[in-house]
Amino acid sequence: MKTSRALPMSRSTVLAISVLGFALFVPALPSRAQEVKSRPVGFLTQTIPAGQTASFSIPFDPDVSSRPDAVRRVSAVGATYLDSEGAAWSPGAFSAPASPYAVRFTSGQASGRIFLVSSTANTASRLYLETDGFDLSSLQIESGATGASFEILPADTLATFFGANTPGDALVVQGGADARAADLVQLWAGSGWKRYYFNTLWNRWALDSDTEVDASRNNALLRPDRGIMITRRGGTPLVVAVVGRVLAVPHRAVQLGNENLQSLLATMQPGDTTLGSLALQRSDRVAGWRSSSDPAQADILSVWSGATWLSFFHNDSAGYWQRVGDWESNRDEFVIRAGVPVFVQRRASATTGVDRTIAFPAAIP
Amino acid sequence: MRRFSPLAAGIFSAAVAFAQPVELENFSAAGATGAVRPGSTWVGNVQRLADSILVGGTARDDNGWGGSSAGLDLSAMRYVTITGQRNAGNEAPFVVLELRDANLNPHVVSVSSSQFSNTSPTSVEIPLGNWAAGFNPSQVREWTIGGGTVGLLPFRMTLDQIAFAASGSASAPVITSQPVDLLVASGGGATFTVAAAGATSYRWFFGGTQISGATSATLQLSAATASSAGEYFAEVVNQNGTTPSRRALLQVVDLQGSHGIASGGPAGYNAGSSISFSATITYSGQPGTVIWRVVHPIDWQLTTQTSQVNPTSPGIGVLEWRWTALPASPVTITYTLSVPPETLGSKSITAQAQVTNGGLTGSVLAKPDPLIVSMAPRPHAADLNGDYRISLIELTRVIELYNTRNVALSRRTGAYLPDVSGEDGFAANPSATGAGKISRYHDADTSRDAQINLTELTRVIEIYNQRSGAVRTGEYRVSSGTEDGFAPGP
Repeated sequence: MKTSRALPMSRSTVLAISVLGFALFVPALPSRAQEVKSRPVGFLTQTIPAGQTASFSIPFDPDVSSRPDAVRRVSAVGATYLDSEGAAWSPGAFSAPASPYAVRFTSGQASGRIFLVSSTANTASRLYLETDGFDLSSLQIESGATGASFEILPADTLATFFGANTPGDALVVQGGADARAADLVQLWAGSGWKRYYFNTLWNRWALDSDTEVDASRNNALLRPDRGIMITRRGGTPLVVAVVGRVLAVPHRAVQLGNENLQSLLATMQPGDTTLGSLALQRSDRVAGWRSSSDPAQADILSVWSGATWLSFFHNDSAGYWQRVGDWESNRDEFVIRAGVPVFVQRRASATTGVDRTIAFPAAIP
Repeated sequence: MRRFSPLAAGIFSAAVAFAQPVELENFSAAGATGAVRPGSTWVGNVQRLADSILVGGTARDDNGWGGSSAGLDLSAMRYVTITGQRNAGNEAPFVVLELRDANLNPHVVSVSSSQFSNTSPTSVEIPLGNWAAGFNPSQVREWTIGGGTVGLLPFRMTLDQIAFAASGSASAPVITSQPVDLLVASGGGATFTVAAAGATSYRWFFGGTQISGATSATLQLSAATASSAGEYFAEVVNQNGTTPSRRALLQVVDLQGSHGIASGGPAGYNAGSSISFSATITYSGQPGTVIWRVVHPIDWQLTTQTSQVNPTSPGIGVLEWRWTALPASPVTITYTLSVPPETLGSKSITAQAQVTNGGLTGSVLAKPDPLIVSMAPRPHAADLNGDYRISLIELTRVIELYNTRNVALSRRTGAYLPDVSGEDGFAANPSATGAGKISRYHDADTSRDAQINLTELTRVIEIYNQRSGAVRTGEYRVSSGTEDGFAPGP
C-alpha cells in the first residue's frame, strides 16, 4: 500500500487495474520500458471476465530494488543467510513484511533460483533468507571472489499488488462485506487453498475464515515463483496487466515437497509455450521426473483451462505428453499461455529429495 | 420442467444443420450426454431426477458435470440457454459453462446464479460473445458446467437443459448486476455500474430525467454536490425491449478533513525525537460512524493522542480513529509520533475522513494531500558553531571520526557513537567492528550505520569546498531533497 503510493509502478512493476481504468494506464508504460538497459521488457495482460476464475502468475522479474547494492556477489553462505562483503544495505531495509524482497541467483549452481528475504533484519552485508527447508550452505552456492551473483528484487503482497483502499492506493478488485460478495485471491497452501478477499467493513485484506479480531492480511505474500487463482465477482471484467524484465537465466522453481504434494508454479515464460517445449521429463530440467504409461504412476502437470483443471503426464512408452483420461492423443502441442502457472505433482518414489527444483526453459533462447 | 420444447439433438454429429438450435444436454436419466466428472466435489452429490439433475450434499462450485462429443459444430451459435433452478443453500455466485475444442482450447461463459429463480426452473439466455483466441467452435469436443472455480462454496442447483441457438430469444436484456446505493462526500466522485446480458445500449436517468450523454454501462459523476443526491437508474436496451435497473440512491454529505504539524513545536521532524500533528474533521448530518484514518511512515510510532477514542492500527503505518458516539463537529485531535533516529529526507502523511451511514461509506482525502513533513531546519552536525558554514576545523572533526580504527581488527572502521560530552555530541567508537544501530546519527552518516565511510566524508568535503567566486565559504543550507538533508551554497 505505502510503497505503491510512494513509488508508482516501480516496486512490483505490476498493475492490476479495472477494465475501466485500463486505457488511462497504458500510456505510462513506454516510459517504463525506457528505463531498462540490459534485458528485454515484457508486457502482458490477462482479462478475467465477470463471474469467472483464472490462474495467474507474473512471468517477469521486476526491476531490481532501487536501494543501493541490489546486484551483488555472494561472499559467504550460512544455513539461512548469505553475505556480500562490502555491501552497504540499510539494516532491516529488506526485511519489512509490508514491503518484502526476494533474491534471484543469476549465476552458478543456484542460477535461476529465487529465495524470499526473511523477516529477520538484514545487516549491511547479510541477508537472511526463507530457505524453503534447505540448508543454504548445502546447495553449493559459490562464494568468495568468484561468488555467485544475485539480484535483490521487490516482491508483492496482497496490498501492494491489488491495493489497500487507502488514499493513493486504490483497490483494484471488488471488495465485499464477506468473502461471498468479493473478488477472491486464492493462494495454494500445499494441500488446500487460502482464500483472501478485501473486507470493506474492516477496510483490509482478510481470509475468508477471519473474524474482525483477526490480524490484517494486507501483508500476505504473493511469492513471485508461484501462481495464484483470481475469482472475479465484480460486474465487469478485471484486467491484470504486468510489466517486467524477461528472465536472463532459466527459472528454477522449487516444489513444495516430495510426498505427492502439489505445487502451483510460475513458469516464467514470457510467451505462450507448449507441454513439449516445457519438457519437464528431461533430466536437465527435473531430476528424476517420473514418466510412465500409467498416469497413476507418473508425475502430473495440471493447467487451469478456464473453469476446470486439465491434467497431463509424460508417457515414456509413447514418447510424448498425454492427458489423463485421454490416452490416445499426443498433447506435446498443448498450449500453456504466458502467465499461466502449472500445478506439478511429484510421485514420492521419483523424487531425489535433495534437489527439488524444476527448471523451466530459458525465456531468451 | 422444460422451458423449451425438446430441441434437435445431434450433438454427436458435426453435420448439425447450420443455425439450427443445438441441445447440448438435457440431463434426462435416460438421455443425458454428460456425467459427474470424476474427482470433482459433485461425486456422490448428484441426484438424478427424471429429466434433470439435483446437485446438493457437499457439492461445491467446481465444474462437476461434463461430457464429450465427436466434434460439435457451434460456429453459427451466438447464445446458450441454461435452464435450471437455484436451490436453497446455494452460495455459488455464478454458473459457468466451459467448452473445449480438439486442442483443448477453452471458451468459457458465465451468468450470475441470481438469474435463476429459487422457486421454479428458469431459462437464462447467455450471449456466447466473441470466441476465445485459439478456440475452434466448429470442433467442440468437451464441455463442463458448474460454479467455475476451484470448489469453494456450496453449489445447489437443479439443472434441466443446456441448448445453443444462433439468435437470441425475443426478450429484453437481462440485468446481471444492478447499480448499488452510494454515499459520497461533497466534491467527490460517484460511479454507478449496471451489467446486462443481451444489451445493445444503455441510458441513465436522474430523478426521472434522462442524463444527456450517459449511454454506457457506467455512469460517472465527477464532483457530487448536494443537488446530485437522489435516485439514479439505467435502462438497458436491445431490439426486443428495455429493462430498467433498480433505483440506486446517491447520498451526498458535507465532509472535510485537514491536518498539519501542531503549532508550538518545530516546523519539521527531528530524527530520534517526536513530532505532533493536529487534525480537524468537519461533517454534517447524523452519520452512523465518523472515521479518521492516517497513513504515516511505517517506522513512526504513535506515542500520545488527545482523543477520547483510542485509535487502532488496521495495518502497518496506519492509524484509525472511529467514533460511533458522534462528537460535535468539527472534531479536533492532536497526536504525536516518534521518529526513528535513522530517518532522513521528507516524509509524506496522508489522511482520510470517512463517514458511514446505513452500510454505505463516503470518504474524502484530508488537505493537504499529502502532508509533507521535512526535517526541522537546523545546522549540520558537523557545523559546531551553527553558522551554516563548514570550516576546516569542523571538517577535521568529521575526518577524525572517519579515521576511527579498531585495533583488534587492525583496520579503519569510521565507527562513532553519541556522546553528549563530545564537542559535536559524538565520539569515536574504536571497539565497534562494523555497522550498528545507535540512538542518534551524525548528519554525515547518510547510510545510518554508525560509521562514516569515504563517500560520506566526501559529501562533507563537498560542502566544505563550497565557493563564492574565488573564495571558499563552506556555506550550506537545509534542503529536503538531498541525501543528507542539506545542500552546498547559501
